[in-house]
Amino acid sequence: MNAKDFETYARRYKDTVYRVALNFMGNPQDAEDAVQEVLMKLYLSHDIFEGEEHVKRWMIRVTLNYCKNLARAASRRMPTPPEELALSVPFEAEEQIALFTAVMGLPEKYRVPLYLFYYEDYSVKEIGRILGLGESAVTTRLSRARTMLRYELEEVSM
Amino acid sequence: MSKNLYRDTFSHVRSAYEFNMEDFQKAKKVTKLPEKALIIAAVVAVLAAFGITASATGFFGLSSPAVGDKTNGDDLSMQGFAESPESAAMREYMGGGMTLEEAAGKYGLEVRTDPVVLDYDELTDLLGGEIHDDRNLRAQAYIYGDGTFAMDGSFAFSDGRSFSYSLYRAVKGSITASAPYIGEGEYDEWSVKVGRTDVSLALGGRRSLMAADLGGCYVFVNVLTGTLGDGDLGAPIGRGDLETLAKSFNWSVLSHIAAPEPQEEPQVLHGAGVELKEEYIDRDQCFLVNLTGWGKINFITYLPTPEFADARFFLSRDGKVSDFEFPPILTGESCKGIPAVSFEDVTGDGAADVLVLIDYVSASGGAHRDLRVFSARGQGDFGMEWELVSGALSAIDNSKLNVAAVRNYFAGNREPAILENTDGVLWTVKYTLDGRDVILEAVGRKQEDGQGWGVKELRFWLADSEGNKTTQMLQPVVSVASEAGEDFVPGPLGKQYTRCGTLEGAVTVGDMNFDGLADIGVSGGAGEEGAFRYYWLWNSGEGRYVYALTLTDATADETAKAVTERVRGADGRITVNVYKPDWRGDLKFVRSEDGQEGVPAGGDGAYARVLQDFLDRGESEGSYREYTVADLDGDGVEELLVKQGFNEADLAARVYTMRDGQAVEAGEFDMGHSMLYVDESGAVLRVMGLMGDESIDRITLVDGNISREEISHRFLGEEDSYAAPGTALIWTDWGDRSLVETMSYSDVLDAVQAGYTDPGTTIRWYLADIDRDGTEELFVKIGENEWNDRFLVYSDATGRALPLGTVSGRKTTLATDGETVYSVYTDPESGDESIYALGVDGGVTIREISHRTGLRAEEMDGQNKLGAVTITGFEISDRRGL
Repeated sequence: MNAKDFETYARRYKDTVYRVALNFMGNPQDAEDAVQEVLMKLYLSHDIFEGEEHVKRWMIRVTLNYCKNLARAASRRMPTPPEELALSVPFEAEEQIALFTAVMGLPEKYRVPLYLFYYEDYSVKEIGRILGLGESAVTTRLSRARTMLRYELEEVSM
Repeated sequence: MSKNLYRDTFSHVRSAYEFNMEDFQKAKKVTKLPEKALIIAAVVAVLAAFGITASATGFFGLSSPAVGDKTNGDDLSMQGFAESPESAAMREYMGGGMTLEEAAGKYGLEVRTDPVVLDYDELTDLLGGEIHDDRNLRAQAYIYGDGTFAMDGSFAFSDGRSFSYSLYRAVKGSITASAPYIGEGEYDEWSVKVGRTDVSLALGGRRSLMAADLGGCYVFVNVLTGTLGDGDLGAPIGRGDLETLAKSFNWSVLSHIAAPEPQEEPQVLHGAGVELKEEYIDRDQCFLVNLTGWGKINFITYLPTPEFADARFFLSRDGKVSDFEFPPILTGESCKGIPAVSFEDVTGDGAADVLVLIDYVSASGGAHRDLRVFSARGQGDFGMEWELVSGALSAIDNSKLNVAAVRNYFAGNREPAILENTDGVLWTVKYTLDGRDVILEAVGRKQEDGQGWGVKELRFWLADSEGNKTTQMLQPVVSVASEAGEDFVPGPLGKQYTRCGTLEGAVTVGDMNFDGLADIGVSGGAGEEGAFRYYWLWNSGEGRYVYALTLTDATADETAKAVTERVRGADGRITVNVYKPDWRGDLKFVRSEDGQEGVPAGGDGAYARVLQDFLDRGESEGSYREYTVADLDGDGVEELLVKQGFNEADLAARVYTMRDGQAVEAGEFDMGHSMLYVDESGAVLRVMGLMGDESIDRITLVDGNISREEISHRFLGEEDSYAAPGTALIWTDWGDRSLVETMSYSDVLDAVQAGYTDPGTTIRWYLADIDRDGTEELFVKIGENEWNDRFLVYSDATGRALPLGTVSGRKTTLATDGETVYSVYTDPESGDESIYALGVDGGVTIREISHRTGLRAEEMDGQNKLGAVTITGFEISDRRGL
């Protein structure tokens, strides 16, 4: 990958990496570490990418792998309480704070599929491939996440 | 929560890292192939040089010093192997100074570029067969012009373990740079023969490898797990498991070199084309579409103009309109609009046709809808299919003429392909599910002997308001054999197919758990025990059908709300088993005619006798008198945990287990400031929390004695909450033996009445269906003093009363609006009013609906505003309605 492409993708997807890592690890310091680590891996990668979507998925998968390895480490940081996390984000509305807090209060295995589905617009099938899960497992996790959020937010299902 | 809200919310979540290109340029960039990088092309050369079965050195050189550096990290070096054009080209490219194309050209190789994405079915069509069995995920593939393709897959064992892999089929004679991460550590290598193919296998700690030389191509599988497993990517596997994966592939199909047809060269637009005026272009019916002979092209719908009084259709690209026009038709009627345009193959020639619906008003004022079908005639030409249109218009009621109806009509014109060697729709059932119209298709094939059929899949399509099948599915395709798992009995057609003697009996729809929602039964065949069916129950929480169980000769009794199964034993005697739905809607075995009932914990009263001993000793061991049951050691037999103590800090749980039919003491553990949970794996966890100091331990039995294993320990911040690592165990009073005896609601009331004899204690009971399963829960209100009033809640959905926990009864009444049951708290002294909705999720749950303060008594009308009426209770001795 040439330098120009790398800079384009790095700027364009560093927030994606951050959000995936934050959803996985639950604390912003690990998420920032993941951003720098994944961008460096991209820069040093010898892989040949077939298009921008391939790059993005590669970055998401590398982020998840990095987070999994970090989660196994004895030195991993504890997740930051959702309410405290929300304070560090410049939300513009109370409902955004409420949603963010509720989502970050979910178990990690629900947060990542939720993010890939609702923010990154991946299909259940694509999420299954990214996470190494069957489609029914992804469907179940999304469904359970929505049920948990429904109770948490006291709203009708979306 | 809406998608927009989610996106708006998380769009504010951004990294604080400020990108600086110099940070990366300073990093040491490896310009040559890393010492331990594996190259697919080089592996091709290796295999050609050594042959797959050269086990002395190993096909990847993993164990031999002859091939250079060893695996001592994440990747594997291939340097030092025999020269091949592929490996030489790769070295020159990776060494820098040459582009991939230059390196390939130097060695007479092609460079693979521009892969096309094929879904699994397209790939198998191309290769002429299934490339693996159904234990593998049906994944899409990226395929190059020479037939090289890559796909990410996963494999699932019947015991629930699964792992992921990347499969790469490289056609010899071309290169693509790829360096898969293959993990660390040492590998165990061997080979296995699958059919006529030698497959080499290498089993590592976190990665494993599989490779085969298929003559014209090479297949390499990077398995994302090994003996140690790799977290979510893969469960640990052994040699046998890797061989199982190898045998799940169809190597002869993988050896078939085939590539997708080259993309159509787009037609060149000639001439100045037609000038179209924007005011007549119906942008809602303009589409970018792939048409035979044109490639990707813009389809333009052009409304009537003064020059031509009917709709016309054109094609354009890059702003230039072709002078090709779809056959213009002038009906002489007034065109009022184009309700729909669709592109699909209705002529069966494999090319997309153009379907257009046009609304007209005749001179006499009558409105009607017309259909156009333009089919590809070659070289970019399209013609009008008058006969097809005529047939469709004759067959379809004009008031119901829409794209779905047209599609269904053309689909129906073709014979369903239910051949002996092809799957097709065997049977269709239309029904309503929770207000939605569903079309269930049972897909399978006919037995070769013509004596029956086998169902392989269930497809649930949503129907539109006209009852026509749409393209929307209720849930992903159900593979009957996969989802029935160990219950599945293969039919004569093979391990993926059921057995059914009649098409009508292939699938049935009916409410098996009495929740008012349709469930599905699939014929499994008939054995000596009787005819059995696999049942899928609708799960509202998950929004799909979930496989539940297999029953023999089962019937659902709506009145008794029970399902009975009749099973013929070897001696010909019929045993009747009774199942009832629990609060989740799952069918649970209750009893059978031979007297074997769903046995409560403790067998025939052993635990009840223990509890009676505690009661007889009275308060001597403390005023806390609760118990619960839990299977601490996962052996299927529940232990009895009796809590006792004088205060919260003093609590302990004494444990009894069953041994040789007797309840024996197994030890004791501290329950001060603690709660017990059962996690997803069934482990019992104790969460002990005091002043922000939280510790979580697993409580189990080892050799019949209590054992405690610390899971975690942390100090909570001010705003932290204690962990809830599973479903909380429900404790109930010693006097309530419902957990250790089969009790009815009336028995529970008897027990409560016997346990609370203080004349100052009032006891009333209520019935209310809080989880809307059609069975009412029992609420027993114990009124000892203003601060300790509480409701004990029970459910008998399984046929015996079981506790669901306790909710506050202080200044509280129960009310219902006919659907939801509420707990209504009102305190005229403080002016507080709180209303909670009650439910069931592992135990009784409460959810705050409203909370108001500072109210005058006449303002406490929250219950009225909900339209809820107070539920009448009964004195303990009044057993009406039970």
